[in-house]
Amino acid sequence: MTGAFETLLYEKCGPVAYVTLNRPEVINAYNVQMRDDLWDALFAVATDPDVRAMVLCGAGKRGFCAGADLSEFGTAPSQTAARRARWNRDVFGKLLHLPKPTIAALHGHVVGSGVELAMLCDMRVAGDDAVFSMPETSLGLIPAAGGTQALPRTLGPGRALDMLLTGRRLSAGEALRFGLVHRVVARADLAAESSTLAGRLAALDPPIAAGLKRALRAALDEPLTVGLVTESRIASTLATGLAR
Amino acid sequence: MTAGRRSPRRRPVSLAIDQAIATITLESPANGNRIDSRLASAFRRVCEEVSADDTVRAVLVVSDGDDFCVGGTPLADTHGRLEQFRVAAALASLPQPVVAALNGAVMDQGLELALAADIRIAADDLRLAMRQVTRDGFPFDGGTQRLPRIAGPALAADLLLTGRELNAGEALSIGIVTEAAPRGELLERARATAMRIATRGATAGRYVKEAVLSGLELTIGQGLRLEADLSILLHGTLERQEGLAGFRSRRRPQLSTGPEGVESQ
Repeated sequence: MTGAFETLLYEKCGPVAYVTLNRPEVINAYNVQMRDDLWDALFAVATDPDVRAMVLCGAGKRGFCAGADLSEFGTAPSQTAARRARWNRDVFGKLLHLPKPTIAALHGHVVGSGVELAMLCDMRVAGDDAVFSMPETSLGLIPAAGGTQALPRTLGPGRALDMLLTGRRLSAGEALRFGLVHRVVARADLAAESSTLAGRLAALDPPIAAGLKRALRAALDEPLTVGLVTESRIASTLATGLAR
Repeated sequence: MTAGRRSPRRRPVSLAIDQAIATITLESPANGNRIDSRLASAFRRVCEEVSADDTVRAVLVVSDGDDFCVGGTPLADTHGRLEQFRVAAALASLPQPVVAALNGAVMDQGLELALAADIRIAADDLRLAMRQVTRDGFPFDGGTQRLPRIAGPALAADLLLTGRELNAGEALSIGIVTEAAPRGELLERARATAMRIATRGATAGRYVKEAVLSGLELTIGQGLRLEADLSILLHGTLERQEGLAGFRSRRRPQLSTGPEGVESQ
C-alpha cells in the first residue's frame, strides 16, 4: 500500500510504516482531506500486524507542517457543527492511543497543528533546521489538537505557557533544552536517524510496546496508587502471554 | 512607569494600567518587599481590581528595589491566620496571563508568589530558594504544590528539604524561568513579553491559560475535551473573526482593540 492518499504518502519498509504529510506546496498545512487521510492511515498502522512502529514526517524542503489550513478550518457553519466535526474523526485521540511506537521526524517549519501532531507521538527527532512555534492566539484562536494539554505535560506549565501565550519561536537547540524534542540531528541525517530509531522501536515485542504506552499514559492520568495497579495489571497480562 | 492610573499615596503595592497591561509593583524596597499582612492585603486588593477589569489583557508583576521579594512572615508569627498573609492564590486566580519579572532575592514566600505567575523572566542577579522547612516553618502559599509541578518532583524535594539557592542560569535550565536578561534590561524585556501577549487575542490568552492550568488537573482525554470546547466557544468572538480575516488577506490582525470577551452576535 503506497501513495493511496491525496495528502499523504504511506509506505511500509519492513516493520516500519512511514506516513508523510504531502502538501509541500503549502508546507503540509493540515486540511480536512489530510485529517480524513490520516484517519485512514492511522487505522492501517494500528491494524496491520506487519507494522510495528510508525514514523510521521513531512514532504518538501520547507518544513514538517505549517499548521492548520485556516481557509478550511476557519469556516465551520456553526459552533455545533464545528464540535461535531472535531469528534467525528478524532485523529488526535487516535494518534495518542495508537498501540504502536510513533516517532515524529521534524524539519523546517513546525507550527501550530504541526507541533501538536508531533507532541502526540512518543518520540520526536528534529533536524537542526527545525523551528517551532504556536501562533494560535495571534489569530484569536487557541490550539485545538491537544497543544494546551500535551505541551504542559511534556514541557511543564511554565515553558508551555511561554510558547502558547507569546508565540515564541524555538530553534531546534532551544526545543531540545525545553524538552520538546528528544534529539537534534543534522538536517541531512534526519531521515536516517529516524529510521534507525524506528527500527529499534519496531524490534520491541508489540504487546510489550503497547503495554508500555498504556502504562506511561496512566502515569500522567492516574494517582500513583492507581497507576501502580495499572502497571501490575499490564505486567500480569503480559506474563500470561509470555509463558511458554 | 510613569503613565497610567496610579494611586497618589505610597502603599506597599501599586497598580498602574497602561496600554491594556496592568503592572503590579511591590513597593517596599527598604525591607526587600517582605510579605507581611499589610503588603498581602494590598496585593489581594489590587488583584481583585485587575481581575474585574476587562480592559486588562496581560499582567506584569515587578518589584521596586534590589530584590523582588526576600520572603514572607515566619509561620510562627502568623498565629495561624494564614489567609491574612497569602498573596499567591490571589495572583493565580487572575484570568489574564501573568508575567513576573524576577531580580535579586526571590525567597520563600516570594518564590511562592512568583510560581503563581504564568511566565517568569529572570535578571542575571536572580537568587531563588524555598527555605521555610529548613527554618522550622512551612510553605503556606502554594509552594509545595506549584514547585513540583513546575520544577519536577525530584528537584522540588531537593529545594524544599535543603533550602538551597539557585541562580538565574540554573533556574533557566530547569524551567522555573523561561528567559533571562541582564539586570538593566529586565523590565524592558518583561514589558515586551507582556505587550506581545496583550497584542494577541485577549479571550484566546485567557482560554489558553485556563486550558493549560485546568487541563493539568484532568486526564489527558478530559483535557482534550476541555481544549476543544474552549476553542469552539471562541467561534463567537470578534477577535477570532478579525484574526481569520487577517490571515486570509495576509495582513497582521488587529486584536488589541476593545475589551476582552466581545462577541460577534
